[in-house]
Formats: sequence, structure tokens, C-alpha cells
Amino acid sequence: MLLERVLVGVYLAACIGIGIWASRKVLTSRSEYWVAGRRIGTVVNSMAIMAALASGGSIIGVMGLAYAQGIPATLALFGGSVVGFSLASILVARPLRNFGKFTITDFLSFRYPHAVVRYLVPILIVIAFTIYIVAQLKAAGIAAEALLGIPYNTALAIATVVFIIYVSFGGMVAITWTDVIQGFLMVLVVVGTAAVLIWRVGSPFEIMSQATAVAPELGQVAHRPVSSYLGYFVIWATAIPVIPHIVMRVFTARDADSARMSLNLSMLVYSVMILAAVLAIVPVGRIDFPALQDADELFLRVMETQFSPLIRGIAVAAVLAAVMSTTDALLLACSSAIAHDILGGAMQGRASERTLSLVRIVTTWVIGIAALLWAFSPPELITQFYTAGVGVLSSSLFVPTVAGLWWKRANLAGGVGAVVSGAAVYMVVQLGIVDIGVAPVVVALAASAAAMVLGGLLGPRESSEMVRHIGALHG
Amino acid sequence: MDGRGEVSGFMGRALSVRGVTYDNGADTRARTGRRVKLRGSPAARTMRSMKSFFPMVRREGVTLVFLIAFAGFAFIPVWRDLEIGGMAVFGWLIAALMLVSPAVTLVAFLRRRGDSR
Repeated sequence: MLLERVLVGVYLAACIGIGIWASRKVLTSRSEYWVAGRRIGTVVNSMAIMAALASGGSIIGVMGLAYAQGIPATLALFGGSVVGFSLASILVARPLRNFGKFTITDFLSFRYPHAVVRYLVPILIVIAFTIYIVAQLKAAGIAAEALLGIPYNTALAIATVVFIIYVSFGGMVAITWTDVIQGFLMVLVVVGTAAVLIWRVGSPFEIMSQATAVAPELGQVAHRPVSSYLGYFVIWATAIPVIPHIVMRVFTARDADSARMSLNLSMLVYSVMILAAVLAIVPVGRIDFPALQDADELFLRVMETQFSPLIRGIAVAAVLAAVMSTTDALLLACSSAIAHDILGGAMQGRASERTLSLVRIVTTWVIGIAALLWAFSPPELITQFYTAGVGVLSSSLFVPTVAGLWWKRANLAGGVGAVVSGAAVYMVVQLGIVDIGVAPVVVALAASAAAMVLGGLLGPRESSEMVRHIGALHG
Repeated sequence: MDGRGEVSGFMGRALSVRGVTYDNGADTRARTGRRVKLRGSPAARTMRSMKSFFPMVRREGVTLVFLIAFAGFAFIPVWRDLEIGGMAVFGWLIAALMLVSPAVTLVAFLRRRGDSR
């Protein structure tokens, strides 16, 4: 395992190096730290967006989910992400980029200026993203344990400290460049592995028919209630346009066209990678390993048995890359929710740039360490776990964001009602306090939309100045 | 709204009733030659609701509707039970959607950018 460990060590050292290099630029400027000075080009941004979304869940988790619950239901979840990119490109990318701030909370608290929005939204982001980060850390831990022979807890601690260092000191600039490297590595490993497996068997259809002959449930979905996989689809389709680590990428683009082009290119690459994983690697793994106890280990088992140590080393680096590329973006978004949205607003004008910089670094370390402690005893099936966390964000932010950008009647009453009712209804249904047999996110989005419409129609009209301002964002 | 592709909100179309074009609050007289009162009629109600939205480029509105319709079609329960090549048709439809969605959105964006240049 020496070769694999050396490869991973080189990769981690490179990430820290990029963080230190970036820190010279970013520590003295909010704009550089949160949105990389809004200078990121289209190709770089598209790979960074893809890497930010394609997490440990997209390599380890997608295959584990497909193994355990079948390919169609898994595709519903990831298909939702892809459609979400289209919604983001059409509905939010241009106006949000033209808005020109740093976070989704900036927009929502401008559109609906109320303390509930200013503080509740970042709190929801921190809760949902801490869950998301824990799921990613689990993927890093099991990858390192399975292929490098490093104990789970040690691997977790090493990976977490590395990305906290480069996120806290390098900000968005470090994240962008590490994400580009990580994105290329992921695509190379997943698509390359799928191509080799297809070449060995003959065609993807041959792989699929062989696998479903052995395990028919792999291709079936009829035994599952529609609401379960419809819920997956809707959560991700509505989350992508508003999920903070993707929205921050929109703000890093040079202009609105570049932001939209980046989203479009990234979703193409993402689709190809997910389809390669689910339609080629999973069926082969299902044939070779019919009774895995932890389905999330599937990809690593396939790599272990099918490829040489060098390729395995690169694969571990790719899994770590997937985990870190998402986790760093999540960590920065989480950090921005506290340091920028909550503390930044309170300290504005009273704290020096140096103090604000210190707050950013400390916040990042606190969140990272808290997630690490939780990840020492992680949940099962990571994709489902963090999807539930993301559901809170899509339920509470999608309607007020899209309505705030497109509906002239959207007003303070509607916006606050939509945020609060979306979050509350999602939690009540998701936690099983009320069971109505429909996917929680569908009920929550309906409640959020109802609150927005009622508030918009019954509450006071928005000022003409606000309407003109929002209209100008579409230009 | 200039009548060359800009449409209102999510509805994605201008109204044409008996040869007279009504649009989103623009001066209809300039294009149709006569001003028409819409108060109280179904057309008037539709126009008022469209006026509540910021305008969206027609091609993008169509793309949006197409993608939602495609997704809705894929989730029709009948596709859960039919299988092709060992996998439920639902799975194949979602796989197709994952390729179609980025493709049509990219085309719509590139054509919009081409038009604006």
C-alpha cells in the first residue's frame, strides 16, 4: 500500500500548497475570500461547480445507493440534480450574478428585509451543511480505510485538517483551483473505470443484462412507492438553484453569461460521470459482490479486485478529491453563513478587515472540527442522509428565491412565510411527526408556495423601487 | 416587451384574440393600430396575471416547460412496471433526461447569446 499512500500524500500536500499560495491574495479582502474577486473564467468555473456538486456521494454514495435500492431510484435522485442545473441556469443564474453580492442570504435578506430571513436562513444552512459535511467525511474515512489500510478515525482527522487549512486560509481562490484538479481526477477515474469495464464486457447493455439476470431488483423500481423517488428528484431539482455552495459559484463568475455557461457545461460533465458510474460500474460490482454489508463500499471493492495498485492509489485520491471538493465548498458556505451573514452584518463598520479575516478563519475551524467529531460515529447510506439535510434548504429557499426574482407581487409577508413554512413543514413531515404518505419535500414546497401566494396577494404591495431594482437584475 | 421573443413570466406567450395582439402592458396601439380594453374579460384576467411576472425569453420558457413535461412523463406510474434490457423504462427515461436536459438548456442559452450579439 506504500504507492497508494505516497500518491495520496502528494495530493494532500498539493492542496495545502494551493491554500497557502491563495492566502496571500485573499486574507485582506472579503470579495477575494468569498467569491475569488469575481474573476473566475467559464471553463475553470464549470469544472469547479461540477466538483463542488460531485461529492463523495457522487462516487461512493451513488454506487452504494444504486446497489442497495436499484438503479432507477438512484437515477431519479441524480437526475433531479441535472434538471436542477437547468432550472438554475434559466431561473436564477443571470439575476443573481447581476445582483453581485456574496451569498443567497444576501439576496433573500435584501428582497425580504426581516430579521427572520437574515438569521433563520444562515442557521438552516449551517444545520443542513453540517449534516452534508459529515456524510462526506464518512466517504473519505471508508475510502482510506478500505484502500490505504489507515484506520477510519485517523483518515478522517487527516483529511479534515487538510481541507480546513486550505479553506480557512485560501478561501474561494484555493477552493476553486483545488476543485478543478479534483474535478478532473474524478472524471478521469469514474469515466475511465467505466470505459475499461465496458471494454472488457462488450457494451453497457451487455453489462446491464448480465447484472439484472443475476439480480433483477437492480433494474426495478415497482416495489418502491412513487413518493420516495419522486421526493429524491424534487429535492435536488429545487435545491441546485438555491443551494449556497453552488450559488456562491455563480457569484464568482466574471459575468452573467459566464455564470450560465459554467452551469450548463458542468451539468453535462456531471451527467456523463453519474451515468458511467450507475450504468457500468454498479452492475459489475453487483455481479462480483452480491452480498455487501455496507453498500457504500461497492466502488472501492470493484477497484480492489479489478485494477493494479497504481490505479487503486489514483482511485483513492479521486474519492478523497470528490469528498474534499464538496466539503471545502460546503465548509466555505457554512463559514459564510456565520462569518458573513450573521456576524459580518452585526460587525459591519465596527471591525477592521483584519478582525473580519480572523473571524472567517476561526469560524471555518470551529465548523470543521464539529463535523469531524460527529463523523467519528456516522450514519448509514450517506446519500440518503445528506439528501434529507438538503431537503430543508430546498423546501425553505426555492420558492422565496424564484418568486423573489420573477414575481412582482412577492413581498415581505410572502417571503418570510415561505421560508418559515417550507422549513417547518419539511421537518415535521420528514421526522414523521405527521405522516401523509407524500414525499416531505413536495408537501413543504406546496406549503411554501401557498404562503408566498397568500402573502403576495393579501399583504401590502412591494415598493416600486424594489420592483425596478429586481427588474434591472434581469437585464 | 418588444414582441420579438420576450414573453411574460412563466406563461411564455403573448395573447392574440381576433387578430388583435395584447401584450404585457406595452402600448398595443403602436403595433395593432387600435387600443382594446381588457377589463373583466378572461383575456384581461390572464393579462393581469402575466403582468405580475418579469419577462422571460420565449425560448427559455419553452425549454423550462419541455423539461418539466419530460420529467412529468418519466414519472407516470406505467413506466415503473415495463422493463427494457433488465431495467424499468422509468430508469431509461431518467437517464435520457440527464442527457437531454443539459443539451437543450445549453442550446437555448447559446442561441439566446447569439441573438443578443
